[in-house]
Formats: sequence, structure tokens, C-alpha cells
Amino acid sequence: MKYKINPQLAFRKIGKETFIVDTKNSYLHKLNEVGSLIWDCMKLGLSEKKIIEKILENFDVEYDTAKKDLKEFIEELKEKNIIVNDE
Amino acid sequence: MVGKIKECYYNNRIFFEIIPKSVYFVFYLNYHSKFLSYIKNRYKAFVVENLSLSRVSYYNVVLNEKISICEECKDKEILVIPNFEFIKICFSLDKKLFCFFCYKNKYLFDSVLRVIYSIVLSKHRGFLLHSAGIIEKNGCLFYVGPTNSGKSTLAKNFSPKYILSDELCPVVVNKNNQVLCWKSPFYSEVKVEYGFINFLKLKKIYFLLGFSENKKILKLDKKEAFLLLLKNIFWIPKNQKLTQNVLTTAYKVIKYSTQNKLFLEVL
Repeated sequence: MKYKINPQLAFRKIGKETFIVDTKNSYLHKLNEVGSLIWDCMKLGLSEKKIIEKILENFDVEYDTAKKDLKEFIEELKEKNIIVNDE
Repeated sequence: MVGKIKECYYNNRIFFEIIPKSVYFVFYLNYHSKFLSYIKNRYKAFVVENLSLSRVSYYNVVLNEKISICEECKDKEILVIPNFEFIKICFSLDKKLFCFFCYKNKYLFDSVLRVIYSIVLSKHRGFLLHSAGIIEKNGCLFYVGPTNSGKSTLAKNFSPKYILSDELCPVVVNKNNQVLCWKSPFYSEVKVEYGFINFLKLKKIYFLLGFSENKKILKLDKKEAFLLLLKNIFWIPKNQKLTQNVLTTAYKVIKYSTQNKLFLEVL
């Protein structure tokens, strides 16, 4: 599964964190270091499988934990209308 | 009428300087009234008599007394109260027309002007910042904070000729990544003394976070400063591209300030 970033969003990375502004409702979201890495992967259009590989490369975490955390994070992004499924 | 304004319909034209010597509003007015005199008088430091439009960037703004609904607005809900005098402000940008309706009232006009001024600044690597701007030597200090954070109280300690604004200061980042500001047409309690409008370099940004008996100045990291800066930008556009411009400009303000050992501090 791949994901598409909502085109109404504007964003900027500062250090290892990413700030996202939803221009529709003026909400400001802040992603931490792991969230920013996932965000960068999504911008490149990487699949879930590739994103997990990137997380394992960059952070000291077990495969199952990374997979579970990514799933939860993606659900949260969808709930906030930050990403949509890219079929 | 989308993005095109026929000059012949309007017998009054005012050039309003947005960014010194480079970006202007061209206000078109199709009537003679006290309101026209008010605009010329209230914003006289920014009104230019003669201007060669071929040498500058400009944005057309039509002030029309007659309420007519254009194509862009026809599907939107518009509140019209009989017996109140309205003006319609149409503003063209990138071949799109933005329409504002307001009472013929100087305070409301000032509010609409702040919005369209901010939209244009966002196109030119800039924004309006909730701040008191104080001139110091050949530069300027910004005291940034929301309403009731003490900007006007602070500005009252200085002569009006050294004040950019006690409420909203314009900022742009130029091609050399210098952060520049100038005297603002917008103020709150402290009337600005204008004189010649020109660029000043921004030397330091302080963020006002309320009053305390123990005066403290704390240095911020880039992320904290970026967040505080965003929270104090007057207008974040709904348009994605313009918002992206605002974020990039805010980032450059923070980056430039740190690189040049100018400090972003919490006061």
C-alpha cells in the first residue's frame, strides 16, 4: 500500500522534526523524528514495506514493533486527513 | 470579470506602496467621496502620486460602492443588510479574483487591507508579524507577541519616529537572505511617525511571553522559535502555495537570525 499526501498541506522540516499546516482548517501538526522519517518516505511514494525497512535502518527497533507503530501512525494521519490511500 | 480590471471605468486611481519601491496596490475607485479622502490621508505615507507600472509589481484592487456578485462569489453566502453602506473590494492575484465586502467604515477597511496586504507579502517572501518594531541605529528590533502581550506598552516608551508599529510589522527575506522590515501602515495605540519609508535590517527578535516580576531572557532553539514565529504571523493563507511560501520565509528568518548570531529570545 502507498499513500498520497493531502495536496492542501504546506510543510517544513526544522532539524529532525516536521511542521505541517493544514490550509483548510489552519491546524498545525508537528511530527517527531520517527514521524518525520515516515513523512519523508511518503513524500517519495515508498510502500509500507519500504518504510519499515527505512525505520529499521535508522532506529534500534524490532520489526514487529516498527510494523505495529507504523500502522498506528498511518491510521492517525488518515484520521487527521493528512494522507489518503494512493491506489 | 475575472482578474481583469478595465481602467476606463474608474476615474480615481491610487498607488499604494506595499514593499518599498517594488510592490504596489493600485486602488481603483469609481466615485468621489469622503472615503477616498480618508484613504489618501490615513495612508498618505504609502500613497504615491505618480508611478510607472512597467517597472514594478502591482496588484489591482477595485473599491466599488455598488454591490454586485461576480462569478467567483456567486455560490458563497453573502450577508447584505439593507440601509447600510457597503463597499466591495475586489482584489486580483494570479488571474483569480478575491472579493471582500465591508461597510464603508475606516476600521473595517483597515482590517481588509491587512488581509490583502498579507496575501501579497506571502507572494513576495514576506508576512505581517504581530510585533512592536523599534528602530535602533541602522536596524530594527522586533518584540513579537499576541494581543495583550505588552507590545503597545513597550512601544509607548519610544518616540513615534523610532517605531515601525506597535501591532503589525512587515517582514521580507530578500534574494541575499537578509531579513528586512519597514514602517508599517498598521498600528494600534501608538500612532507611527512616518517620514521616508525605507528598508531596515532586522537585528533581533524577542518573543513576549507575558509579564513577570523577575525579568528573564531565555534563548530559543530553532524549532521553538519557528513555532512561536508561526503563531504570531497575522495571516496564514488558505492557499497551499502561499502557505508554503510563508513557511519557507519563516524558516529563512529563523535560519538567517541564527547564522548571523542575531538572537531569538524569549523575554
